[in-house]
Amino acid sequence: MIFLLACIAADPAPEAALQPLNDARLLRRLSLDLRGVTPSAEELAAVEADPAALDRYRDEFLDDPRLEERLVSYWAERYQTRIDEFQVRYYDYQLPADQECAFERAVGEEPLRLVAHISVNDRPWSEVATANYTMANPLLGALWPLDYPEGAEGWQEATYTDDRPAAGVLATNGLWMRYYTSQSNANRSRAAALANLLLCVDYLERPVTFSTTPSLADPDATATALKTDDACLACHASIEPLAASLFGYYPAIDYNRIEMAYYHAEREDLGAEVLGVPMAYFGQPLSSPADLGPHVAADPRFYTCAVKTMASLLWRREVSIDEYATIASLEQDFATSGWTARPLLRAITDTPQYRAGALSSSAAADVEARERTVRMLSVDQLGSAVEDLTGFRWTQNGCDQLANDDYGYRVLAGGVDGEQVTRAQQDPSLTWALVVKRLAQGGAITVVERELVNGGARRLFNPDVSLETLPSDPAFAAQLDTLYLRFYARRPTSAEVEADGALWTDAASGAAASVSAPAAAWSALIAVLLRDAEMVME
Amino acid sequence: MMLWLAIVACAQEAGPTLSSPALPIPELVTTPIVAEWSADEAVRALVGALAGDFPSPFRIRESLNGWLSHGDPGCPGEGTFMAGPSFEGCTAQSGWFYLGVGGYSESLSEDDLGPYVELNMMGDLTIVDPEGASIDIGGHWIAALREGPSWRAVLNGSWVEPNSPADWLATGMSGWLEYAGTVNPDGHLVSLDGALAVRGQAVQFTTVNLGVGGCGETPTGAIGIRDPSGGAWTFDFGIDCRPCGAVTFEGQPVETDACLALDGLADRVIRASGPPQ
Repeated sequence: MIFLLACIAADPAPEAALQPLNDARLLRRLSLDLRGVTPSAEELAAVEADPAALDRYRDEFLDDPRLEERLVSYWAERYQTRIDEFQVRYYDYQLPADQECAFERAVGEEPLRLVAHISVNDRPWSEVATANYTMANPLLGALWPLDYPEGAEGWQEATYTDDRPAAGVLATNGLWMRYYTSQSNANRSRAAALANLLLCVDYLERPVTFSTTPSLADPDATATALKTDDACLACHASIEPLAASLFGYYPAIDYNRIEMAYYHAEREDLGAEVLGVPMAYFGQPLSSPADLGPHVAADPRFYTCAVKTMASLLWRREVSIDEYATIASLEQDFATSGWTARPLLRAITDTPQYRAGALSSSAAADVEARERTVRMLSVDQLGSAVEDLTGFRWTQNGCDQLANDDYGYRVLAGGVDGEQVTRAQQDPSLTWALVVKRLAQGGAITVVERELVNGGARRLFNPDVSLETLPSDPAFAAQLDTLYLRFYARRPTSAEVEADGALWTDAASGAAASVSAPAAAWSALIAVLLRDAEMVME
Repeated sequence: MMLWLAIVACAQEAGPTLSSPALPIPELVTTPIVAEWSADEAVRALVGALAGDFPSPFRIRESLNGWLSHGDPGCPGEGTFMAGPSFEGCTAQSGWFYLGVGGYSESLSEDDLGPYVELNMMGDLTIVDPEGASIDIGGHWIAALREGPSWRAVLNGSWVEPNSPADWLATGMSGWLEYAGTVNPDGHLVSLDGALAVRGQAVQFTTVNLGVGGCGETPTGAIGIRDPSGGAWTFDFGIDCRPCGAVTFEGQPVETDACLALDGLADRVIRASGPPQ
């Protein structure tokens, strides 16, 4: 009896503790997670009329071209490659300053685009570690030794022409420019990154006994300890041989464009000399660097890691060790699909953890502490959702302000910069609120100017709404219906209609003489609605 | 028994374990590397890579002198070492563009073996002429030259100048090599250890000695070359002045010895590594 209770505690049934979102909010979560936009009024109406439509839409979203972009964003949180400054800079290629963001984004997204491309094209997950191609855009095609298709546009499959062995993301410049190494580090940090990113083996989480470690100021003694000290060997026995397999990427200078962008085939065997061990994969000898990718692809940890990572990204929290049965079940789904990513995503969106909207009264304290039943939109979701609703993209000097940290907005809004901030913010903060406020204002002003003032095509406003529409008009209430549906996936209450009308009236009366009062009023109202918790949470 | 039953019950309740053997994890498939070259072709490629001029720091120095001569005091500054007038680079009045840090220096030093001149050629730099032709340096090439003469050099990095008259520089050269040479009254002796990518081939030297005082034009040690398949050909001459080396591909013996016609390589290394006559 005692043992059975222990089993239940170790593998709680989430459905007992979690109450699912209502269908409309679940459709909204699915749409934001898989497409980066809120659902349309028609989609919401269809689900309202027939709840079975929910899963049909989920499957459509998994086929939506925007899924690829969402996966790039998800994996950016994991791979941490969308950083603002690589050791090699845009000016090293004589690019003008207005191409800085484009350069940084292209370099950082190369491995992410490969993962996303493999995912949405239903290629086997093993290609993440074995593909003999990468993804490149015209900029990378022009700068690096790639056979980017002539005349093509956008991200395309391309192959490196510098004799590097096929190894999926492990053969991308973007990954190794992010995870650079020095001569003394000798690819060890890269080996650790490989283990962490692809296998979820984090050497930095292992306990280290420093009492037997020599002074790090003594390089010879340290080098000896790495080969002889049991505490050091606990990690270095596997790091060193892995690092030895990466010496084709070993640069003389880690901020030089030709040293970093080209594979150095002649250096492949230097690892054994520099590190004093032959290349190997966790005890299995590698006959050449070309064997690395296949060993990763045959490692069960590689697949478990993919499942845990995707579950964590979609649940917006760390996976708990108590959830091993759920992870194993998801992994079974992953395997059944031939290790393709979209069925895995589908299975994750079926989990109670994903669909949770509230805790039941019987939820245990550990479940309450763990679950995220209400989730902040990621900074990428904020940007794409507001752009979809209003046409506004917050850019300055050609840079997407929610996608870099020149001014810090990405991090202030809860995002990951890949270096100083490596985990997405999970709870609102003052800086987050300020960025959301400014984003909402930008979106509101943009959509009002475009649609009501300049007579542009309607994206958000109903056709019968104009600057002459007043809160007392039926068209006003109908417009609020549209806004609430698009923003919150529900209709407003009569009290909300009344309050919003009053807000509109106040804003109109307080508008400066130099601006159109109705335009100012609509901008104020939409800005307030856009920054509401119901909009910026899912 | 009670404990065992309880654990079984627990496993059933929990569903599959994380590393369930039922999961069809892809089997390890490491495609055996199959040589694209025959041993004879590998020999020809190796001899071809090492034929002609051996990479020379003095050739780089000559290039740098020419390229820096188009600069001015404001860009990139005077002398033989550019200190990076700005991160983004600068364009001299002549229209030449200079980016990065580097150049060369010569200094007189002394150690237990006596005085020597240290030629230090280092850089992370790009220079572009008004027509768009460029020179790129990423790394260092340090040579210690002594009376005798003898010298010892280390090169780590990459060098490329597409319009260079020197073919090894025009096609780009990259390496991680230590080498040394001595000019004796009756001939030359050179040693090479490390890796060199030159004329499109990746070549490995493992404790290689060539020349008078060694086995003459027959090397000792082992020389390797990377096959287009990514595999490694190795020609191991040992230390006993065998005229031909034992051939292996990816560590597996190939049923023939190979004789490398490396005639004149020691002289070419010597010529490349001493100041132009």
